[in-house]
Amino acid sequence: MAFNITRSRSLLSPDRTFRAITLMAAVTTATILAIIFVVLALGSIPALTASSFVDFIGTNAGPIFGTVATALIAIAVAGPIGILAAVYLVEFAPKRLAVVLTFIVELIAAIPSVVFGLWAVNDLSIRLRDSVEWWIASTFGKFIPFLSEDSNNPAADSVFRAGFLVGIMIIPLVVALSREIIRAVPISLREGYIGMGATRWETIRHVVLPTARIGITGALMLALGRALGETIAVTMVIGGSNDVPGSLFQPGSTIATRIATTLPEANPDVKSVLIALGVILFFVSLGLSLAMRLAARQTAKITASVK
Amino acid sequence: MPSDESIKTSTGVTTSRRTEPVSAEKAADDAYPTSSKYALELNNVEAFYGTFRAVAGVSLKIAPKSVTAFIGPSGCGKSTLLRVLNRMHETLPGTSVKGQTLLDGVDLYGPKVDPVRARRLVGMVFQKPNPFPTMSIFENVISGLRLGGVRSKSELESVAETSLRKAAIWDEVKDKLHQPGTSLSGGQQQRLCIARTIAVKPEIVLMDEPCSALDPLATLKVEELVRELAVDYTIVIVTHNMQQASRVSDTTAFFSMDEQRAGYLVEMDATSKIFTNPKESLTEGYIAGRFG
Repeated sequence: MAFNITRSRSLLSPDRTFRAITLMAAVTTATILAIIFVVLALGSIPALTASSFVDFIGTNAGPIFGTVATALIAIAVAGPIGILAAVYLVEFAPKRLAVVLTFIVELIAAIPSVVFGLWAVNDLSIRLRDSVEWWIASTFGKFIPFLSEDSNNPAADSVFRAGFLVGIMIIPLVVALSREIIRAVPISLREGYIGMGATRWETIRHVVLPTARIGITGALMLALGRALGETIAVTMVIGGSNDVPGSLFQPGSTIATRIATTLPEANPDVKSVLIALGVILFFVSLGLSLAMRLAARQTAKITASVK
Repeated sequence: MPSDESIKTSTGVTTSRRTEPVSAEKAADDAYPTSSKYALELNNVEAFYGTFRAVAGVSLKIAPKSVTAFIGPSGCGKSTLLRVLNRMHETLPGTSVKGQTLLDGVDLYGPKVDPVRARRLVGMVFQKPNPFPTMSIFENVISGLRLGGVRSKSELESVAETSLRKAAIWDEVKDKLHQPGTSLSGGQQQRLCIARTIAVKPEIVLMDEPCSALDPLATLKVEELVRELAVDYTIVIVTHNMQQASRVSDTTAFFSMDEQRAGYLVEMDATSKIFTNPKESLTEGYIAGRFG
């Protein structure tokens, strides 16, 4: 016989072996999530059983407040800029310019967090203090103590500056996600509306953005998740106070910065508290990520409904 | 087919047309005189994608309130030419148009013409039904009116009903006007898009293979609709389906491609003539299914 086509008797055929190896890699990845969850959940039990959940939140109100405040400020900064930039890239930018701008946005995303922190400490914080912060404080601070600042002696660090910095850091993410979503809006819808006698702006406002709305909301959720967990850069500019600050322009802390700065010298009780805070962060981020997925699916459904 | 007088055009093309002037008050609205007996008149029109010439030197005349079919093999520039007629071609980057396109005697590409307003006079129905997914059926129909600044609720409602009736879809949607347009079937979606297009009372309705995404029954309905709409509108329809061209059109323009792959007009004549006794052998070959 000139050829042999009988099945190899070995159990370890190349295909089976390779399949087993890839399966193991996949299982390992999935297991990491389970391990993290179990370890954190067990570690948080002492802190969560020592007092009621409400008391737990109360005693950690400072970092929890700081986390929410910085994340919301970050979204307020990154949302409009990121979405508008994405609109420009998809709807207006000439091809070459779009490529260059996209590349630059990706470069920003590649800057290490600590470098952002350095820049903020040496430059951004001071600029913000003397411009945006000063303007808000002198305009609204008289009526809203929460937005006031002692203009003779402004704080060295503040929750506001940390949130603003995180906002700048997540702009690339918002741009990248929004751009994909806006690009997924079928051309036929744009042409349909332009064909009705609409300007580009009207088409973006009445057709493109409404169609992309749910997806963009999801993108902001994901960016919010990223903002919640940002640690190093925030630690460098937020000031490290554990109490709820009297004003956005006073020092504060976030869950992430609290964990990072307190853990090294924490006794077992404090350690458990920090782990419990980590669990909260873990679940919130997970929830936001799921929300993003749901939104993406919903958007796909809307665009697919256009036959 | 409208049973009005037959006229002999300067190109020797026999078409049927109605005698009344085309919507004189609309022309007055736009401060343009109605000066032509043709709804559309093209003189040596060329269309480019970058440096590629997709349409070469097309001259033709289209009578008001008639149905004109553009037929020809794929890539012969008929869809591109259609998009020249409502200034959609230029919305793609790198495109350009040469030659003269007269809409009711007015140069569509004149320096004073606002392309956005021009598109309200020359509506377009696309290959794939494209109702706006975030708008209800009602909002889809009145989307053009809203763009034109109409705010009166009663006017919007009455135009919506008239347009949906004219598009032969009123009975199917009258009880669910506030559901999404995308909840309809493909054929219904396409008739909704036709309703949306005629709601702004255009001079001309362009249709770019409007039935290519539809099943035979939905196609039949749209074809019937095209015939009915020709009473009020000038219709230009691009189709790959020659039976469709012979069923719906008064006049047929046959396009082909030259050696540089530029589309050109081979001949244009009364549909009955094109399909029985065309002048050009190329046309005859295409009609007989020898190529294309």
